[in-house]
Amino acid sequence: MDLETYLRSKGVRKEEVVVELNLEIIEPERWKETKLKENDNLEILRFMGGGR
Amino acid sequence: MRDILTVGGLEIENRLIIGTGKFPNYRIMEEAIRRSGAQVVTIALRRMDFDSREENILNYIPKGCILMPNTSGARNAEEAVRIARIARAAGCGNWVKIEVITDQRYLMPDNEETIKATYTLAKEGFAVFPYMNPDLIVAKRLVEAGAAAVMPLGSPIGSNRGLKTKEMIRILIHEVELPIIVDAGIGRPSEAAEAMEMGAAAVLVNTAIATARDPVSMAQAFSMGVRAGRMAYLAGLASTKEFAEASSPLTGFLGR
Repeated sequence: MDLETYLRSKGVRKEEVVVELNLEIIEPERWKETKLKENDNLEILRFMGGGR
Repeated sequence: MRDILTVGGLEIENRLIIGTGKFPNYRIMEEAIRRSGAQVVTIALRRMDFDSREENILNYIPKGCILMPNTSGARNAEEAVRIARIARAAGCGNWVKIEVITDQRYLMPDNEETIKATYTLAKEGFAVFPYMNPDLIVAKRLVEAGAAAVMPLGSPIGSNRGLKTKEMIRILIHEVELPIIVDAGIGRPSEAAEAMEMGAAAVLVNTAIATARDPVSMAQAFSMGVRAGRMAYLAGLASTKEFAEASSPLTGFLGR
């Protein structure tokens, strides 16, 4: 499955997240062409209030 | 003549920086930022939780505010660098506050890892704002590392204990050429004013505003405190004396 399809299935909008796949940041323009593989480490990150 | 703080390549006039954690909700946070006139806010990066669909905090930060993402959660320089790069990729500018904390009881920052992260991120073009435990030698290393400012703690995060590290902060203000931004533990507007009277360039306040009964008014009070302290500093505070000095000369009556 490609990243864009996966994220859309989770209801994620591109303006609100940053995606890191196997420690590499993947910009929204590359989501469609990026395929997810088994054992991939996918982080979907967003901003929130606070600090420590 | 306007009193402007030039730091990290940008100019700011309001020297109160607000941390966005712990507010009752984002609407109150937004109103507090507006009422205070703060131009810089800190935000954190976290893993998205698909089960609790929280709103996007960026929708509640007034347009024109400068974002200072922090590396909270980082336990070492490598993690801090990783978070900083992600934050920049999210498109919120090149400012980053380095927060490297492993101590869970006092949330004391790891000065050594902070220095390492500063070197790396400054070389990558970030405007680096390192949060640190005030120590002159560490501050000098941060200057060498290319930091945009130095952010010494006043007292533990969230403790509202004020400027417990006052003497160390004073040394930094005197000896370090970069803006000194006091961050953590400021519990009252009077304490923010005190930091500014000492010559701090700015202060960062979160808990004392966000957890006040009326955060919006408290944000305004802090803003006023910061302005008062800054104005007093610029006006040249009078020296303290050991003995009294009468305000008016003796009048020459009453037998004197």
